[in-house]
Amino acid sequence: MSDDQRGHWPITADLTLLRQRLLRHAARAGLSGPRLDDLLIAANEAAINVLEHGGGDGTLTIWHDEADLTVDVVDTSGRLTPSDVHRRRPPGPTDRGFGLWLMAQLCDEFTIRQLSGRSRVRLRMRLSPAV
Amino acid sequence: MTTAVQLDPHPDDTLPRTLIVALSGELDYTNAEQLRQQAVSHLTPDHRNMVLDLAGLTFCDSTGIRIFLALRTLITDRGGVISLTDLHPRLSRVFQTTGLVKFFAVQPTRADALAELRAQPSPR
Repeated sequence: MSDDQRGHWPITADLTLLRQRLLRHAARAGLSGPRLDDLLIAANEAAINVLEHGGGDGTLTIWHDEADLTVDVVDTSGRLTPSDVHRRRPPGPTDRGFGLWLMAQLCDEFTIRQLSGRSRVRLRMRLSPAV
Repeated sequence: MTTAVQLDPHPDDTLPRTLIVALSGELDYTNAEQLRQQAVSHLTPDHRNMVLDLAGLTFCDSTGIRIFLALRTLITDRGGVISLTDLHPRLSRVFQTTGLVKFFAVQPTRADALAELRAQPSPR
């Protein structure tokens, strides 16, 4: 994979632009239909987590190889921990926490790593799902 | 910030107590509160029900759903019904996956929602 196939953007309040960039890249990588929508919804949840809880500053990186499309969302607060991927569905309709729940439901792989004061959410979709 | 969601009222003479609005744009964390305030500003004390035609809404995140839930509380406190219609597949996916779809009367089209309300015996 060469660097020009990688998308790397700051997360700002211009979420429309971020979603457009993500859609364009993911579609070019071969994701389409409901699975493209699922990745879009999950990546947006990761991005708004950065704006709301993650120090307000972060980046989104997207790349793919033959097997997978990967989106990394890195914040500057480091509040999310690996165990946050196992959060249960929020019990009440107005409770917070649906974002992490959605990421786990919608993506083939959802992991969180802490890296020197930052948290990295990784969302992954298989490009050729097993039948 | 994401461009504000556009809210267009579509009053119906046969349903004077129902606020009917069409939403268009993209609803997310950056403009959700703005939409709530806009929707509330269109509510009068006479309104009992609300119909939200979402045909033009191409995106909604978890913060957007919270706004719909807040509007639902306002309407159910009045003893009314809140209907969502014409959901984009992306919106259906978010509502279905979160399970929050059950808090709303979801109808295929605005016309279906209005017909359902007209069939109600209570004030419309």
